Amino acid sequence: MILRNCSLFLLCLLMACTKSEEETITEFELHFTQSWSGTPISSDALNNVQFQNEAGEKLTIERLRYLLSNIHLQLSNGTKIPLKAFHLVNIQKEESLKKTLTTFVAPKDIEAVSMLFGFENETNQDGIYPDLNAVSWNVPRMLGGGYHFMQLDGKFKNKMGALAPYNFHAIRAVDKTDPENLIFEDSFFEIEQPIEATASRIRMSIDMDVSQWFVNPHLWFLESDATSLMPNFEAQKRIAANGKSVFSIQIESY
Amino acid sequence: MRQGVYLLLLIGFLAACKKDDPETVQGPTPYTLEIPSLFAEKLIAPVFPANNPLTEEGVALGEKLFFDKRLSLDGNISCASCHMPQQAFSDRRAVSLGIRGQEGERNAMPIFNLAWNYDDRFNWDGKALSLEEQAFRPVTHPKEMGNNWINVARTLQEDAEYPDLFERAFGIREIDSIVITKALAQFERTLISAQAPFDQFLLGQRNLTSRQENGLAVFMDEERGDCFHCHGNENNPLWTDNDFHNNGLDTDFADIGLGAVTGDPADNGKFRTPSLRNLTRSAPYMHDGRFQTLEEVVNHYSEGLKPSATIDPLMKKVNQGGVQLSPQDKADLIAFLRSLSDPNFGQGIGSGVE
Repeated sequence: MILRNCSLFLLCLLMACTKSEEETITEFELHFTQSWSGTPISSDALNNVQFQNEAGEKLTIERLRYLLSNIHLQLSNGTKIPLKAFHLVNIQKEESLKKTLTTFVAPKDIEAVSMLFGFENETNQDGIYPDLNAVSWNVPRMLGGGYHFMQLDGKFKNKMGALAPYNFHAIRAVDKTDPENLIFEDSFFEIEQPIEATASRIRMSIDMDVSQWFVNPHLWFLESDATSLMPNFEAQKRIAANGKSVFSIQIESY
Repeated sequence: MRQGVYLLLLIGFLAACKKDDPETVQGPTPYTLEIPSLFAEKLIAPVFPANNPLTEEGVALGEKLFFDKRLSLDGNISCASCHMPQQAFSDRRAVSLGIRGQEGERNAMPIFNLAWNYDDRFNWDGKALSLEEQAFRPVTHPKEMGNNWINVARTLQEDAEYPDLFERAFGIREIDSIVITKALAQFERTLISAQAPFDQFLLGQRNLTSRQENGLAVFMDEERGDCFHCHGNENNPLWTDNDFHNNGLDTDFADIGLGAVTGDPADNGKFRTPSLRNLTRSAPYMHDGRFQTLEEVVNHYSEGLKPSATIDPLMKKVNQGGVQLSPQDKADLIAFLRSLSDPNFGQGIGSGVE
């Protein structure tokens, strides 16, 4: 009799816990995908001359790494809940393309997800992230230090018909005309997506349309701007401007 | 009454356990790896496999094995024959000589800071997926030690000392390839180089010369040397990304490197980036040891790049032959590179062992 009563009590307790957890926990599955004008880019097709930018230049994508930071939720009561301080996506490293995160927030309270491309200035301090140092993600101190926002490398067919390298690297824009007095301009930007969750599991697909880096608002000609873009102040500002139309986020709750 | 019996039984059980404790065989002593302050500050923790933790006994055994020529078929070649301590554990020869004077296939890579190779891919082509696996191959390679593991294990088993040493390190007296490679890997993980003049500069203990300062600037300048994208920077004291690149050595490849391991033609001609530490003692350079001097290496990146389908886009001026450094920048870059060499690295290692 005592045993049966105890079992019933335990069962009730477990049910209460389960119900409570369902209401206050949301699980996120972040998928980082890359595409070219709607066609997925897969890592096994790198090195092929298979893309063409808006300027008509044919190109390969051989390396693509980019950093998203301050990934957080915006709640209906105005608070912000951090999900991840930063995440480095490497198209050649499968483990970087998916991340599962859990928050103690009820799905109904979530209004939006927000993140930054690159680092904001306060968090972009030189050498402070050992895991990013370990993968040589740093920016030279002569350019202000800190970290890359993106490394997009490949080759394009130039006017002579030869393949020529390009290094489309994004960093905090810096004018180093006077090396003793560097002038910076913010080149990180925010990516935001409203969320209307109906269940406690949310699949978030964050897609980078790589073709957009070369289009809007600045039509990009690799023929004239392909390499040594890190110390190129104007190029960095144009990269940041073009980046605003690069990302899209699809939300699915289930 | 019944509770009293249970209590007595419990006390008896605990007493029995206690009696056995002094007879418990002591395991090996955990090895305390001294991690350089720069590494501790700048990098994530080194990689130690859970099934092969560092122990005092394992590291000492690994060192003894590293210098033991009985690992080779003819008893003339040890690991140290091609990975010489005084050469930063590399070889002076372009390709090392194995048993019967046979030439090997690639330049012997130096050995240091390997516990910080986070992707755990070793050798020039990344074929070995752990240090233990790396240690496995040379023993049986016909052009290296030319032996077989059964023979090696039997030789060591018959030795007066080794069975005891293996028991102390791994708790077993039966010697086989698994425990031999584990011991070798443990020893190799303790080889740390972090006392170069440039390290002392980063620690505020010395200044750079004006030439070294300019050399560092050349190294870090995307418009000049642009070496940092593959070879690290002040915040990555490994001075390698441990990744694989085709650095423009050839248009047609005699050795396809990583491509032979992955089977992907896009990887043909790619080799692991070597660290720039200890270059003053690890000549000759590149996977085939084709360059005898640092001047030749710098000239290669400045004017000698050769195009190919898989050349890394970071070799951005391949169509102009290279980054076209001035003679002054070349000399200063070399002065900086020399400051990454640790004059004391390797000293005292292997002394007293056969």
